[in-house]
Amino acid sequence: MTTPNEPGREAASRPGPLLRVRDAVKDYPGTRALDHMDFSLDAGEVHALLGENGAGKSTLIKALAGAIQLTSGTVEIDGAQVDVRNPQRAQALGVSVVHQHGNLVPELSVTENVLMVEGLGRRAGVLVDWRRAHGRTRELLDRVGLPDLDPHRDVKSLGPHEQAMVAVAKALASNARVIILDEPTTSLQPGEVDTLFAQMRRLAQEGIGFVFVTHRLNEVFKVCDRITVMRDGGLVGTWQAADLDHDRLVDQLVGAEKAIAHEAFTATAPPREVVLEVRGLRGDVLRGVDLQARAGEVVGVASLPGEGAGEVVESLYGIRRSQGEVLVEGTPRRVRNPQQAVAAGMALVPRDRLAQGLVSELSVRENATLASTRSYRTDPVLRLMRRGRERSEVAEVMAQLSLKSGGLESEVRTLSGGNQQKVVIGRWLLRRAKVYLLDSPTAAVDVHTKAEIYGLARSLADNGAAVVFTSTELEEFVRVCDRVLVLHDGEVVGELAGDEITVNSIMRLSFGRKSV
Amino acid sequence: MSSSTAVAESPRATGPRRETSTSDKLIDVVSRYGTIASLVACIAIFSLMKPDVFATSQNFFNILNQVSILGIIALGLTVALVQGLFDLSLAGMATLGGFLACKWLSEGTIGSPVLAVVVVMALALVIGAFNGVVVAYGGVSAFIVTLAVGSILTGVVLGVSDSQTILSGIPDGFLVMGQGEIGPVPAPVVFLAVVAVVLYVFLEQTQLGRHMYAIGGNAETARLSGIPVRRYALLALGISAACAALGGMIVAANLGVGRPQGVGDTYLLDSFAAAFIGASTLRPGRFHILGTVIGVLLIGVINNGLSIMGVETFWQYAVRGIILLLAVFAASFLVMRRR
Repeated sequence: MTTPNEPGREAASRPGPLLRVRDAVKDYPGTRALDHMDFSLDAGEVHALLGENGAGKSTLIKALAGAIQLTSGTVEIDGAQVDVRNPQRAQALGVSVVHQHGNLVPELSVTENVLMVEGLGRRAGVLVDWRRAHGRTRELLDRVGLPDLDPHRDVKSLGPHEQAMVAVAKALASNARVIILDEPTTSLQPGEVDTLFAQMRRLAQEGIGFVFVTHRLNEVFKVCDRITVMRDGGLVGTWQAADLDHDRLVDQLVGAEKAIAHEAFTATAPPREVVLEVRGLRGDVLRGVDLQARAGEVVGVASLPGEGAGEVVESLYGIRRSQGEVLVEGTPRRVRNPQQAVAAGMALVPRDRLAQGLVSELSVRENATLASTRSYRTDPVLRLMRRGRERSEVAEVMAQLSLKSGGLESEVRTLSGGNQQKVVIGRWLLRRAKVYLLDSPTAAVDVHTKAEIYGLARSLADNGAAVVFTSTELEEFVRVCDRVLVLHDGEVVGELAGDEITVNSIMRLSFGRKSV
Repeated sequence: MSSSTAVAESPRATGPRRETSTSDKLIDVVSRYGTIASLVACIAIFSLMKPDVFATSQNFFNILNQVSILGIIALGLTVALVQGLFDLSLAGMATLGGFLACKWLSEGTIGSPVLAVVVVMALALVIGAFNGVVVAYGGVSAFIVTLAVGSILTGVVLGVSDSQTILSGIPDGFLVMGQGEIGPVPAPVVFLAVVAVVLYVFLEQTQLGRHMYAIGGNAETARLSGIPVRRYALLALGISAACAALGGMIVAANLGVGRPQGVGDTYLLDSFAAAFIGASTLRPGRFHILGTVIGVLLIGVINNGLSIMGVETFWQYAVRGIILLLAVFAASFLVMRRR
């Protein structure tokens, strides 16, 4: 391990870093989000900024983007102290942030998006000079490796990878020299990630500095020169990427409690009776999928995006049209919509908690009983809710899940991501669901919370439920699944169990290679 | 990395993370109780300035009587707004309700006033549910659907009535709805109280109300929780329409005439104002019955007080607008602060 922020190395090749943050402090009422943080970025480097949720990454980014003001501390660009007092100023200073969803307007054309900040050129001061605007956009698209993209197209018609690159082009249009990429790879497929990285490296050679924020640690080693880890609002250290490996990086991220990040949650007892039986599931993507899940086991369903894994979950929950036999505890069930699926004993823990899992303005209690209001009503006519019983049962389940909240009446949006996920799971415990469909349940949560969610998945299975698990991060299958079905092009191409489950074996099968 | 780690561990020592500061609490209190405080302030000011006229029990019931029709319509609208549905058809619905009840009763189509009220409200429920069908299954925004249906209703009443007001033949049993009294309490106030209690229990204490708040908060989450989301639009717009029709009938009973136009229009904007003022009260950002009641009272007190003080009508409109802006501003300010 090298000394963090060793000043000599940076001074060796150039006069000073492109961007430097010194002693940054940001206080919010009752909490300190940034605590004497130091960070520097050289021109031409890709620098990973890592940390668990709440470590202070987003606060630092917001301060650099001019969205918030630091309580104390300085920001320097090219060695000169600057005042990033608002987003316009940040842009003028050449600092640009590309967010997860690319901060593009889907309904507008590529040109309109790319030149949003710079402005569209005018003829005689009135009419937009579209020819020049599209020409300028083509130049920028060329620089990000999309020379063939038609700038007239609406952004919503582009693939996720193209959208990410258009967002970078938009940053370049405002002459950005520091580009902060906030989880840009979340919606990308493996091949697209590589393309993005190649373009990042090329632009870095032109002298642009990238700050790369991600939860996917493997990617860090593929593309980054240096790695800075934050914890509790402060600096843990900055390293050359070559001086760290995956495990040691995880140790730095989680700090003292290292063991938790490597803990496995696979079954300790053999599986019991079959709870879910699926035969010949077909749809626009699926081509006859058979699946069996027993009480006590966590069954993974893996595939490349759009090749079947997500589609199995959606079909079983009635969100996606499908045909085929679905049996829950031996009884054939129709699952043509979520209502029927819930009635059949299915439970969905969706990928996007806030958009699909919770009603953020309602209380923990109201969210928890959303699928089981029926069991608290007095009768089918007046339908009065028996609040007392509702409250005590919610309290019991939430205690079981060791939920940390400001009370059952506090609004669910005030909870942390992991606790929000517990409320979603609690909802299905109260409903006494038999089949849990976990769709990327750990999306955008930190190492600690991930472990907690894996533990919950395991205890659901141990308590007699069937758990079907899918994720975009293959490492997760290894840690939590007892069996993994790998799909390719809508068909099951292999089944892995126990020690056979590795990132490599899943990857190989999902690319359609039958032999492991 | 020793020095930086030592620094990094210090924030935990500063105290629990989610502690709220005094300024946050103040903003919270202001936004929750600001509307109630301004209601109290208005009453206090008017009482001080015109103690012999404003601060009398007779004027108290007078205010309640004046706001009762607005209140009934605004409470129904609140149910629709809980689900995020704007109901603009309530003006036409109120006019239609009042006119039809008078027409049927005066022509003897329906003999019993009670039956007439029930039939008109049932008809309104059906028309409202039709709005809901178009919204939920046709995928059209409630704003547009109810605007169109409201226009159709206005046209239908004008056509059916031949623009003639019904002046005679309305039975006393119907007029008592708008003119009767139970002790010192005017009948419209009794209707207001009943509607308020019923809808309060409906929204706060029943399974249906719970589902409506969930759908209004996040329809996708509600759907994925197994709630049959679509049919709730029928219920919400049906209730809104039924309340509008009831309000229209009380207007007709109060005036003793069945007017074919202009009855509901008076209440359209005020009912939205009352509901939005209510949504900034006690539970900011959430439409609820108690809030709407407070919003209605605030509008009633201001109108009554300004009239008593001899303020011109155009000022009354302006003051009402300013109060609505302040209320909505207070609510959105809090929501912004929380982000």
